[in-house]
Amino acid sequence: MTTRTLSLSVLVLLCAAFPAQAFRLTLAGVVGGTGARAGAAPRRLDRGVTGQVAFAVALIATATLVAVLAPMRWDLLSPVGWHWYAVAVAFGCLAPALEWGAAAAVLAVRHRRLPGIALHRLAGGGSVLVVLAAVGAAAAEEVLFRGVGLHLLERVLGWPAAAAVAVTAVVYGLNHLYFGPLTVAQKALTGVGFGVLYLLGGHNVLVPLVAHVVQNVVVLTLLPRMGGMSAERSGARVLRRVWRKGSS
Amino acid sequence: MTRDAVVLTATALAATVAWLALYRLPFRRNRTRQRVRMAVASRTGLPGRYVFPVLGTLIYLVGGVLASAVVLYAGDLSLTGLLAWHVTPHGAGLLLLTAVGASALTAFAMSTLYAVRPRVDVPGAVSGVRWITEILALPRRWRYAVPAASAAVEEFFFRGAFLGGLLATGTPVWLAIAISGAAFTAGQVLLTETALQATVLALSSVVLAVLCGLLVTVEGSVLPAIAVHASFAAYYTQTSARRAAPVAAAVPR
Repeated sequence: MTTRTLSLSVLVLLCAAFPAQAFRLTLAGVVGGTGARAGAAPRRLDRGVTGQVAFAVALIATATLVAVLAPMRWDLLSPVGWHWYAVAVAFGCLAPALEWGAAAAVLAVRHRRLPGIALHRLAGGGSVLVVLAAVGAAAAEEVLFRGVGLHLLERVLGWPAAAAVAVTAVVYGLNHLYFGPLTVAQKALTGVGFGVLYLLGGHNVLVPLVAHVVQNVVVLTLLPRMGGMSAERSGARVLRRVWRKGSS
Repeated sequence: MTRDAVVLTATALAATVAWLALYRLPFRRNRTRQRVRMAVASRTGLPGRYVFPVLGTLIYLVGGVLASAVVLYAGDLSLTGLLAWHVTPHGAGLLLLTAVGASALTAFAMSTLYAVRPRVDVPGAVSGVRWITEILALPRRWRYAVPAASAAVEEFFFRGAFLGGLLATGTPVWLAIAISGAAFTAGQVLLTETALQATVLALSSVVLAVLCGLLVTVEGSVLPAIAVHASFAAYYTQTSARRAAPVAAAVPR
């Protein structure tokens, strides 16, 4: 491998590591955050919805740039057994419960119960824009963390697969620091799942991408009808409050 | 490291020390500052509050250019060789990605700082750094130009002359970036007054040193790194000033 390829790989990896956190912080100062309450004055579009859409657009643009610049060839049409897509859908459906279980376990260790959790106010609102934004953000995150991150670490830099999965999962989790440390742990856990799906699914990013999209759609469309459960972005703010109570 | 690399490192470090000393030491005492301010203001008609922002910037820029010239001479480097950039769509995209990445990594570093110590005031710390406070005393349009110009000179010295010189001697990329980045970071920290200022500037300096160093290595020119650093400095100086208005307003007159 040439010095240029190695330098380019490391540069792309570093630049692609924490876009979500930066965009959330920036948008918090521009449109009131990606989940902020609407102002008292009537508005055409809820500022929270605007924030989610802007966040997704920024993340998709970054993922596109990273995918084009990374020293790798994309092979989205590589053969993948259909059963891996079925496993991805199943994992996507189970991921919210997995995250809820992780949060409950962490709080149980602290001798606190996870209270009944209301969903984020944007979830269940029937907003197609919010669902589309969540789908777009999920696709962008998979391209960034599994499609490029995991691939470069494992195939270009020669890291062991387990180490590459662990690092990309932790970095993916840390991109949710905005929501608090508990969410970081939850996301790192599902990040391991997405990474394993990527490896087992023949190094095709479409497999974890399907799982991630399913997870976000379940959280935003199905869970509100089932009475609410903490997961993905919808429960993150509530969980942050829970974490704050737990740590105070 | 080869003997040439050691000599170039020693020369660049000496040039860095001389540059910072030229900028910092002559006006360290308040009494001296007052006398210089009055003398310059009375002879040039420049408002008193603009004397040190203008004078300090001029000294910093001239010092950086002189330090760069010394290292270019010592390393037998070509100015055009360092600046020549064959612009390609890939290179332009990489410049954009590096600018985004520098902001993202810095934002993450600051978020981590907040997570560890929730009560720290990062914008206040940044705008409280003396040279930034002085810049904020200038009219609004100059608040972009001055940090951008200073950043351009810093970038040319540390990633152009220093890093480029080390790479030309055959020093491994990681070591060359580490050495030039450590000198850059130490220089930024030396211009701070509090531990928080030092932490914040050190974090952002490490981010810039690594990303811009890699960008120079990939593109073979310091120009894209200058663009990244200049836009980063101009943006963050403004942002910090807006978010820490009470501190920015307390500019010495």
